[in-house]
Amino acid sequence: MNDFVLSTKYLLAALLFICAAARADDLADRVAARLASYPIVRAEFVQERTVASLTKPVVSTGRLVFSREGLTWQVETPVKAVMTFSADGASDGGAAQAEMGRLVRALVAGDLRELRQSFDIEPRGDLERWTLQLKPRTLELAQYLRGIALGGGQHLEAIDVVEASGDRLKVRMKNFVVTP
Amino acid sequence: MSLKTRAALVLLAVALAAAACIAYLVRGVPLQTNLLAMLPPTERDPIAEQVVAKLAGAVGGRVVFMVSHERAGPARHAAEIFAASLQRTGGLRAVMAHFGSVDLSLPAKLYAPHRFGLLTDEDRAGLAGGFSVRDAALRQLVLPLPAATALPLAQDPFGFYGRWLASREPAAGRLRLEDGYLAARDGDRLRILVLGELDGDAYDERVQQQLVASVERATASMQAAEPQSELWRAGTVFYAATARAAAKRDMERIGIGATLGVALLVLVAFRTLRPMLLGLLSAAIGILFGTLAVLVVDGEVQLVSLAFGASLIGEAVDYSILLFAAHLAAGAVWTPERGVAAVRPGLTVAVATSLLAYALLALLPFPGISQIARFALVGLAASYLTVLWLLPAFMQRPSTRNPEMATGWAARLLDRWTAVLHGRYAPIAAIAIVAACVPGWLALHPNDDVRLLISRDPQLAQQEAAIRALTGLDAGGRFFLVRGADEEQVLQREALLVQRLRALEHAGALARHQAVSDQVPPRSRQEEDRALVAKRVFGEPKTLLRELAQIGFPAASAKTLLQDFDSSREPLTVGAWLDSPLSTPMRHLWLSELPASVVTLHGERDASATAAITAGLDGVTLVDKAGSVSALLGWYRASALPGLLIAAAAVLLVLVCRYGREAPRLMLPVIAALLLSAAIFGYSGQPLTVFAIGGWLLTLGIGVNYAIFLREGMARRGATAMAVMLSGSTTLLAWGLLALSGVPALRQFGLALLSGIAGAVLLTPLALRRP
Repeated sequence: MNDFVLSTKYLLAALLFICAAARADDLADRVAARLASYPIVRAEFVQERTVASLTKPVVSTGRLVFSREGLTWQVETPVKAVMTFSADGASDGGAAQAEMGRLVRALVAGDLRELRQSFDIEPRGDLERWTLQLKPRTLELAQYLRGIALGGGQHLEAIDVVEASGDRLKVRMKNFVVTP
Repeated sequence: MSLKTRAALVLLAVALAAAACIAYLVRGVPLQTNLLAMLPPTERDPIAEQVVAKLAGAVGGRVVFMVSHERAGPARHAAEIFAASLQRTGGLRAVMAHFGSVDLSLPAKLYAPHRFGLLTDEDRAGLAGGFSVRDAALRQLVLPLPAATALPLAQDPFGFYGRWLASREPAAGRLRLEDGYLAARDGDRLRILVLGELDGDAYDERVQQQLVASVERATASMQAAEPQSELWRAGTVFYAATARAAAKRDMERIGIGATLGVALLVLVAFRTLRPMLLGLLSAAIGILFGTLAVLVVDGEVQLVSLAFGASLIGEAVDYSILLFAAHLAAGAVWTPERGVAAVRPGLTVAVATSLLAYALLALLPFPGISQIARFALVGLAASYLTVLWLLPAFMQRPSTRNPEMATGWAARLLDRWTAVLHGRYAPIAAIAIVAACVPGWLALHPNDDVRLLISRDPQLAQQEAAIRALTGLDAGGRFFLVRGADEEQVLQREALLVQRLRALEHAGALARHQAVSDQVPPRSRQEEDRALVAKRVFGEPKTLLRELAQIGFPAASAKTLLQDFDSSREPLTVGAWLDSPLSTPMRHLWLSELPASVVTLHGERDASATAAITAGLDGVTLVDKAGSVSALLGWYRASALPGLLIAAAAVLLVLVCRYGREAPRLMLPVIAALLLSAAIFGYSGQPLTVFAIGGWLLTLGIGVNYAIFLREGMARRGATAMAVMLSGSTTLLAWGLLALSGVPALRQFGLALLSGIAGAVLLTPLALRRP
C-alpha cells in the first residue's frame, strides 16, 4: 500500500483550509469559519519553489479561484498551466487525485476533524493577524513533509511548506476579490 | 428359505456393511459443504476451470476484518490486541494489522531503470504532438504539488515516470495509511483494516471451527481492552461456516422433528413403540447402505445428500408401517408369512415406482443430485428387503387388539371422505378449484439464479458490503481470461482489452480493473514509447542540456539523465515484476505456464456492457462461473419439465403392467396434487426452479404409492387407510420440514413435497372406483 501519494495532498489541504466551516472553539476554528464564509474568492499569487537539486529557485505567478466546488490554480508565468481540484473528487488521474478529492470534500463539508487527523494544528496571534502551524501527525506524511505554515488576516495570505528533504515552497497571495 | 435364514442373511449383510462404513469413517470422511461442488463442471474449457479454481483459492483464503472505535488511539490499540490474539490462537497463517513503514524504494528499484519506455496514454499523445523541454520541466515546478516523489527531480524532470506510476495505482477506496495502519474514517468511527490469510481450505470444517473460535476469543479480548470497539468481518470462510452451522441446525431440526413426530403418530395408531423401533431399524439399514454406496462411488459425502439421508427415514418407515397395519388388521390369525404375502404386491409396485423416479433423478449430471439419487436408490432397496425379510422375524406373535376396534375409525374416515370426493357436487367443486388454480399457474415464473444454492447470512453480507465500500475492493465473480502464444502476445491482447475497460470505467459502467499489463506494458508498447521519448526529448541533446541548465538543473545532473537514457535499453519484463515484492497482491493474475493472464473486474454496474467489449478481441474470454451455472440451472429446469412427464409415463407403464386400464385412475390423485402444488407456488410468489421440479418428481414417485397401497389393501381397508395416513404424515414430517431450511434450494424442494404429498394423501380416494 505504498500507493498513496500522500505528499501531494498537504498543500491542497493548506489552500483549502479557508473553506473549512464554522466551529469557533479556538482560533483555528474561528479562522476556518471566517475563511469558509466567503463563497468565491479570487486572488493573485506568487510562488517560489526552492529545490536543493536546482541551482536557483523557480518563481511563478498566476491567479487562483476558490469556491465550494473546488480550487483552480492558474499559472501565467513563466509557463501557462492550469490545475483543477474539484470538490466532488471527479478529477482524472490515479490515487493521488482521488485522495485529494476526498480531502477537498471533507474540507468543503467543513470537516476540520479530517484535517486534524493528518495534522497537529498550532494557532498563534489573533483573528486579525494569525498564523497556523501544521505538523504532520502520521509517519506517512512525515516521510515527505516537515511542516506547513499558514498566515493571514481577513484572508489566507501566505503558505510556507517545508518538505522533509528541506525543499521549500513559498506562496504569497494578494488582491483578494470576494464574490457572493 | 425360511424366515429365520432370510433374517440371518440380512443381519449378516448389515454387519458387513456396518463394518465397511466404520472402516471408511475411521479413515475420515470428507464432508463437502461447498454447495457449488454439487454442480457439474461448467466451463468446457479446462484452462478456465483451472483459473477459476486458482482464483477461488486466492479469494477464499483471504479474511478481512475492520476494527473500529470512535477515537484513533483506542482503535489502533483494539486492532493490535485483536490481531495479536488471532495470531496466538491460530487458524490463520498470517495476520496483519500493522503494515509497517512503506519501502518507498521498491517501485524505483523495479521500474526506474525502464522508465523511458513507460508513458501514460496522455503523455504519449502529448509527446506525439510535440515537446518543449523548458515548458515541460517548468510545469513540474509551478504547480502547487511536490516536484517529484517517485524519483528525485533530476531523474524525472518532466514527470513522465511519476505520472505513469500514479496512473497504474487504483484508488484504494477510502483507506489510507496512518502510521502503518490502513484506516478509514466512517461517520463517527475510525475503522482499521486487519488482513488475514487462512491456514487451509475455507471449506474445511476444522479450518472453519478453529477460525470461528479464534475470532470469538480475539473479539472478547479486544472488547475487554477497548469496550467501545467493534468488529466487522468478511471472507468466504465465514459464509461457509455459517452455512455449515445452518445446515447442521436444519438436519437437527428435521431429524429430531421427524423422529419425534413419527414416534408420536405411531404410538397413537399402534399403542406401542415397537413398530416405530422396527421401522427405524429398517430406515437405519437403508441409510447405512445408502451411505456405503455413496462412500464407495464418490469417496466423499455431500452435505445435501446427508440432509436427504435424514429424510429417507420418512419413506423407509412407510414400508414398515404398511406391514404393521397388516399385522394389526390380521388380528389373531396373523402369521409372518401371510403378512408378508399380503403386503408384498403393493409394496413391490410402490418401491418399483419410487426407484424408477430416483433412477431418473440419477441421470441428471449434477454430482450432488445424482449422489442423492444413488443414496436413495440403494437405501430404499435395502429398506424394502429389510421389511420383507428381516422385520417379519421380529413379528412372530399376532396382535392382541381387536382389528375392528383398532382400524375401524380409519375405515369410517376413508368411507366418508371417499363419499365426499365422489359426491354429486364434486365435479363442480373440481371445476371451481381448477379455475382458482389458473391465476396461480399463470403467476409461475422461473428463477435460475445460482445464489439459490447458497444461503447468505444477512448480517455477514451487510458487513461485507460495508467493507467493500470502504476498501473499494468489490470483485464480482466475473473476470477476463487472456491467452496468447507467448508472454508478449498475452500482454498485447490484454492491453487492447484494458483500453476498452478504461472507456467503460470512464462511462461509469465499471469501477476499476486489475491487469498485469498495467504493471508491465507489452514490450512493443515500451519500445514505441522509448522511441518516442528518444525522438522528442533526447533527439537534440544540446538543446536539452541548455534548456535544463536555464531552469537551474546543474550540468552534471542533466548529463546523468542522458547517460541513464542511453543505458536503459532493456524493457521491463513480467519475470522482473514477479520477482519484486510489489507484485505480491497481483501475482495470481499471471499464469506463466500457459501463458495466460486474468483481468479482474471491480464494481461492475453494467454486465452486458462488459460482456460486449470482447467483440473483435483475440484470445479474450469472459469467464462467468456464476452466470454459466445459472444458465445451466435454467437449462435443467427447462429439461426437467419434460423429464417429469417422462417419469409420469414410466410410472404409468409400471401401473399398466399390473392394473391394465385402471392404471390412469391410480395416477389421478398425485397428478391433481402436483397441479395444486404448482398453483400454490404461483400464488405464494415462489419461483419455478429446477429444485421445485425435482421435488415434484419425488412427489410423483411417493404419491402414487398411496394410491397403490390403498388399491392393494382394500381387503383390510381400515388398516390400509391408516397406513396411508400415517405414511403421508411421516413423509410430510420428514420432507415437509425441509421447507423450513435456510438454504433456498432445499426450501423449494421441501415446499414442493409438502404441498404435493399433502394433496396426494387427501386425494388418494380418487384412485378408488366410485362406491
